[in-house]
Amino acid sequence: MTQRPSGQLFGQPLDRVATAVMFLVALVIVAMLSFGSQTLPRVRSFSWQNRPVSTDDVAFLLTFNQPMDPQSVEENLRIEPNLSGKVSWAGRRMAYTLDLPAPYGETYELLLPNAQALTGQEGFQPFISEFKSRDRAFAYVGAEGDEAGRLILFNLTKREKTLLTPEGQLVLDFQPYPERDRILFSAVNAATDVDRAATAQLYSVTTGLGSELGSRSNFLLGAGQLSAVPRWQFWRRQASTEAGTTELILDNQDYQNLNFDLSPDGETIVVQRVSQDNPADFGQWVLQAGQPARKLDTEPGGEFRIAPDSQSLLLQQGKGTAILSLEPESEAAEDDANGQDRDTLIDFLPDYGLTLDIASDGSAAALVNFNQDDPDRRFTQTLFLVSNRGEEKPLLDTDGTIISAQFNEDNKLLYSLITQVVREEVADGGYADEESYPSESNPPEGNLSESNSPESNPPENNGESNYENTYEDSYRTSAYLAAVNIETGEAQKLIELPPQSQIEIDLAPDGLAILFDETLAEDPQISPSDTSQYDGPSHRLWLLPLFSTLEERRNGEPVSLPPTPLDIAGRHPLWLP
Amino acid sequence: MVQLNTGFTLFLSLLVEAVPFLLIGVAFSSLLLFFVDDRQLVGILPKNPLFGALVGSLIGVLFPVCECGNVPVARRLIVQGAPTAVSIGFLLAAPTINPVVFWATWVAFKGQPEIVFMRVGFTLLIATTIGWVFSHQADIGPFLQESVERSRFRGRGGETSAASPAETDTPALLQGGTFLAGELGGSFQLDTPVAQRLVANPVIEQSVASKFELALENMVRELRELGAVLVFGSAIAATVQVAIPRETILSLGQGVVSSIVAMMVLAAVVSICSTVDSFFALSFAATFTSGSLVAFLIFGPMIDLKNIGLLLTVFKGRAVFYLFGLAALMSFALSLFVNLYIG
Repeated sequence: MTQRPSGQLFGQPLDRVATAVMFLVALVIVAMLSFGSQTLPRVRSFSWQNRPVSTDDVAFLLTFNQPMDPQSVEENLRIEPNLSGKVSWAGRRMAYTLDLPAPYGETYELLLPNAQALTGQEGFQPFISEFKSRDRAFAYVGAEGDEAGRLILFNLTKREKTLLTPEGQLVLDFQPYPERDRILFSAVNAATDVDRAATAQLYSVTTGLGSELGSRSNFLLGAGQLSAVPRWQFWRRQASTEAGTTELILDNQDYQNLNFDLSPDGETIVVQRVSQDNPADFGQWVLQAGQPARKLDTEPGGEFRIAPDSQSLLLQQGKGTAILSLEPESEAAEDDANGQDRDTLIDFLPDYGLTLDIASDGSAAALVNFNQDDPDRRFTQTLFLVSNRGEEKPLLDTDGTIISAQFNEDNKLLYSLITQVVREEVADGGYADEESYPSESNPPEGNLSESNSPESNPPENNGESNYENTYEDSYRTSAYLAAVNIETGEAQKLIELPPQSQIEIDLAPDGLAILFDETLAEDPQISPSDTSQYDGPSHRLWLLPLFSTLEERRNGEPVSLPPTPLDIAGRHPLWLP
Repeated sequence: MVQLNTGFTLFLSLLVEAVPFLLIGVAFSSLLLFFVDDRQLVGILPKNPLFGALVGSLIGVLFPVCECGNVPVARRLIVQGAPTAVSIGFLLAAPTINPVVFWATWVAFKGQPEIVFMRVGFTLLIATTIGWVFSHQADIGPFLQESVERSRFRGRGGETSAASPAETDTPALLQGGTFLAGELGGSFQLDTPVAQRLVANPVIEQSVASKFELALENMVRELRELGAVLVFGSAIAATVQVAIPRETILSLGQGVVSSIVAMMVLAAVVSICSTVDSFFALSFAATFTSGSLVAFLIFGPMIDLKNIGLLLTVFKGRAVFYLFGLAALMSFALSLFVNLYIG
């Protein structure tokens, strides 16, 4: 290895070529150093580029080609229309976390005209990019002509209507999957099924909106994106399917399918079923992908709802609500411990008979207390907020019923649909007590003795007797929608709804508007026990905007605004996530 | 104390990320000894210098994965009469151009996929060019160590008679092995078995059971050897992150030239295995220029201190110097290009 006298070896061809090439490369390096200049700092990738953003997308990433001066970027970054948010840094990456979800159906522009590199290098390559939020879309059950009873998708942004289910199938209920590519629904065959509700089967139908998601993994998109499916995982890429492909999920072979709930992650379905032969064989069944349906082994219950973690079920049992685990593993553990085949009871809330909604982060639930233990308030209902730390907070009382409640997207407001009893005379006078909230309109104590005299006292009322009252001469219930601030407990009445037997509301995923349906013609034949709703009167959909300014939205203070008729004959509207 | 804690966390996280790839790489390399008979391969290699160099760079896909395994294989190729361009191309590119390294780099640099492609592309370019340069030497003999040179000519003779050259070569081989152990001293005693299979693939001629045993033995040995280097390298990376003030690293890592030089020196000193060096590089990704990361990733597998020791068992000093010089200059030039024009 020591150098030998070179006369013999230095004349080798390799010596000459290698030396020449090394010299050449050195020359190139010198040339680059003297004539080249460093590339300008620039944005290398933007994680939301050209892809539909949903409310689940809370933050985007900007990756730079070199470390940047954070302040210069934050000062120059603009989004139009404005989306306020917070900035955080990790090396060359900047994350921008939105304060509020991006409103749907919009195209945004991200601009970074100037910024300073950390090295002090001058100049910046300006960056402009576009991103879109998902189209506003909702589904409903048609109520007119050959649309009656069919599931219909309406893209509000593009004003496109798509009939999803075939004619001859009457849709009873439905729920969209979280990726909005499919909708789970229960339906009966209109032609053959006489006892309709008893023959319902569960199906899923494609919405055709999956292609919107598919474009996330588009090869043309910038590198390093945070998408649900990384683009190199081509085998996981969703094929964009046509709308209207129906698939049977659960048949009615041995059991009638009554109600169902789809878990927020779309993996679990809980169905209330009763045996075709034995009415005593009644209960909740759990359907999970790749597993046969299994019956939850617990006390019989009523209303139920899957918690936001998709792993537990809130089930009304007796006068309270049981929280059960949906995980088969915990069931097995229970078997070992007790030798009993029981599904795990996680908790039991004895005071609350009805769960209306659970905050998306699982921090709290809206529950109804029917006040059965308090003789003075037997016929009132109270809306409670129960936090996961066990704090219970009454939000409002009513002498009518609390029909539904929905948390808004940041779980600070609870939109509640409530009925109250009004006297006809007062109602004619234009709702004199419009500004008074139900907590203030409780029947005064001591008036109970006069309950035979309608003029002086609102009737005692509970959930069962509501509808009777609706058709009495002097009394009826009126429904109204209120936004309850769960911090302060303040309720803001948003709209009085026309008296009707059934009403459903749904809050848009971005929290900007509420959809509700209206029964157009009051048909005295119709009563809530009647299951053949699809033959009933025609329905119409309304859209209620909640905020008039950005300021109101930021403060979470919805205002009372006039609703817009959508000119759509339908009922049971639900937004797609 | 906090720094020690941070350093230890960094060290462990590096290790945890890298160990699976090291295991896969070692298992892969040992199992490939079963299936690939390099002697058959030599017969079908192209003679055109440029094309040969390119093919040589690409056959890493079929061969042991790490830079520690490729020198013996390159030596087998040379001895068995493969064209110089092919052998040199293989020597330089094999540690980088193979599926496990590609995958590991991809996992590490998912956020900057261009680094993965630059690593592969630039390595191919450099290896092919150096292979082409070496092909100008029609007879590479004067640049080889004498033991290799001797067995090479005997190997050639054996090739024409179509007999198995491995057996006739064995005595020369053993000599080479002993020489290697003496050369590197006690710390690399584990290399002795590597030296024993320098020329012939020891597995090919065995029965299945003993093949398996040999492969297992090879796996354990490589794991111990490379695992030690990995632990050592991770410790260095963690120490550098914690001990040196951030401003110093940043000013060093953001300089167009200084960052490349720093990373190339680091690559040569740390001698970390190519299957896991991407994780090592990743820990510098936030503070160093992209070009310097590329420099580390292409230069490290070609030349490092441990490697030079092995190379000197095959080539004479001047040939190693040319390899080193050409690889270093071209890596620097390409990385500089990245820093200046790609960013």
